Amino acid sequence: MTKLEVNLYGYAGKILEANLEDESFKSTPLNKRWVELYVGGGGYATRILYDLIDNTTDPLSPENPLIVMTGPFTGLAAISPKTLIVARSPLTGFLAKSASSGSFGTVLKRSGYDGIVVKGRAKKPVLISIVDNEPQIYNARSLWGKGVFEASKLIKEELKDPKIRIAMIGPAGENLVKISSIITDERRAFGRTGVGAIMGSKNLKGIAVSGSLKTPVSDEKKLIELNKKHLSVAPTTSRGGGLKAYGTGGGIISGAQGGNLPIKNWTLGVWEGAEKITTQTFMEKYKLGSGMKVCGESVICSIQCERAIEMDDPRYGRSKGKGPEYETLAALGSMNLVDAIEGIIYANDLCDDLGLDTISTGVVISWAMEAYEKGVLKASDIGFPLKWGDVESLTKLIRMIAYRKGFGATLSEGVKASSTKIGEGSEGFAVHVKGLEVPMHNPRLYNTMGVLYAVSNIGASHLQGMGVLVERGLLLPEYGIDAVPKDTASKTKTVLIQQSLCAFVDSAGLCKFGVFGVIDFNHIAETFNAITGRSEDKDSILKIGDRIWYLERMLDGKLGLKAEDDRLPDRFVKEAVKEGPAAGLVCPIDDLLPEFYKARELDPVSGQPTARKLKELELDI
Amino acid sequence: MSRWGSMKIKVFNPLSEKLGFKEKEVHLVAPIKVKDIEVLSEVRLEDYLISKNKREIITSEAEVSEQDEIWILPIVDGG
Repeated sequence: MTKLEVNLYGYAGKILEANLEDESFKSTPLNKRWVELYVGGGGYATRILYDLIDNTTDPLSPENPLIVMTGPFTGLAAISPKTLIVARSPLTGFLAKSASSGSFGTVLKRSGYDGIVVKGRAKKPVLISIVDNEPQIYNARSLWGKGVFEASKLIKEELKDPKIRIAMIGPAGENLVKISSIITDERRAFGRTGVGAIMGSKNLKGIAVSGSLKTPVSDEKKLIELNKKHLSVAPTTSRGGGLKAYGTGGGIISGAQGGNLPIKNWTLGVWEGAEKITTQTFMEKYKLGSGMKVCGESVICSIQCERAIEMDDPRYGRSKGKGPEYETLAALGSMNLVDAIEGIIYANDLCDDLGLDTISTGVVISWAMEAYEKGVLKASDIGFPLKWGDVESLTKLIRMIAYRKGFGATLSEGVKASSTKIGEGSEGFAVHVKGLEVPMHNPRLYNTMGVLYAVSNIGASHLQGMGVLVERGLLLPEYGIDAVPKDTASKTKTVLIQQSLCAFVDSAGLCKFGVFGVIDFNHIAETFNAITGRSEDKDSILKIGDRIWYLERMLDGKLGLKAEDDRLPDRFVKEAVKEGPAAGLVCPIDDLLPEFYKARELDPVSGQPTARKLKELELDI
Repeated sequence: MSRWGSMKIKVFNPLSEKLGFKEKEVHLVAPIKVKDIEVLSEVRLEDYLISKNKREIITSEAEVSEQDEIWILPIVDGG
């Protein structure tokens, strides 16, 4: 690693600490050593968190900080809109980490801060605003209880600033629902690991930012040149062009035909309904304008993967704006056998407005459907009978979860806690890792996803390593992955490189859709250097990613993680589907995990890295 | 079975724009590897998913025959 004369090009240069106990603010300069080691975003935020919590910290207590952090790429580089939120998860007890696209991060930097650390708990509902370096706390009592769409409109009117960007919770976060999200730009989400409940526990409705401050970069001319190249190449690639044409939801068709799509809580391999819910279908019916949209107005992106739709349905009313993504179409659709696209669009709107993670919500409802089908749950337990494919059952449960009403209170704790409470064998079909519901990529078919889910530091997430892309042929030749991994050694190598690259990407502020299968990491290293003035290359940024992955692992160790927590649900290991491309397959996790542990130098009991590895990565904290 | 069969190829954007068709019937007299299908000769097939009869993902080395249907899909799975 280059020893930096760190001048903080690419950063606003400071973090805002907001203490809600006494409504005070403190501006803290970025720690230059931490910038050097952990870059920003998820890495830097995890380093802050490491010093602030331990295993006695209740995730919903004032002692658990909510850390929002951008990276040096955020808002400056092509296809780099990302902001990260980090804390201790109320859903898993381990690291909470979730990324959002949209304009929020870009505007946060323009307001004068790279990040915000929110501590304590307000005595009454409040809103934090930052406008050009000036933070303020507003009384948000009149907003409490309101959905995201209405509250967002009211905040913009009250603050008389239509350009303000807001990250906020809906009723689900206020009600401490453990699968709640924080919504930005009304339609993007810090979706995973229950971060909405943490914001709710602080009596914080949201954070609004606005500003016009410019972030200095080291070599602006070079950055413009690199951005131009990235923007022109991205839509010409198969992946970038495919995302531009269909958004992520185009993956429903390939997922169904290729065996990736989860169907009926992962019990079926073929489903005729897939063609009815894919982006290609709903864009034919409900496309708004060109249908293509960037995820936020300040975002520099030539892929435009957001699908803009307008629907006016007699059953579900009007929907205008962002259409559902792949994960949502699968979680609320195929996982629950819902093939009515209008119903999914409506359910997606409900989740955004109420502030619920669509992945976890779809999974926990799918579990309830299966429990009902098997007689573990009765209509009297729920209040009505459940029926696979029924939009009314789906949307009733979504509301009940957000407001913790009736059986919704059980489901609001997530699928692990729900199945533990109900028992009767239902734990066997509760599909989660470390308490985080499994997303929509099939580990029976794409084994690297099985390992990535099992060992992820936040629980099952498809964004802590995108092995599925490599297994589908989007290789990483610059890191020696020049063939689809078929054996244990090449799968392990893919997992390690994907983990570390995703850790770097989440810390830099890049969007993963603008990188993997779109542009190589030599280009990313050059862009990093043009922004920050550093002298990194593809190998040194991989090492930074390594360091961040191990830092997360160390934090999880502090929070009680053991090797036995690195597991994959039995559904993927012991149960195969009978039809389709994945018929007869299970994930050979027992062969893959020991190899991963060996390669990462993790202790087989504690799950923690060796002292040698920590020293090598300068992690002797 | 007819001696002269035809196979359907369906392609999606952005490839359909490049090739100038969304669907095409290709006449075959014998099984053929996907990579040898003339209308796909300009396509870097490893960048796409090739689905056969909506049930199976195949490589460009796989053979297809009359009455098969193949879809050339972009790799867009994500989140």
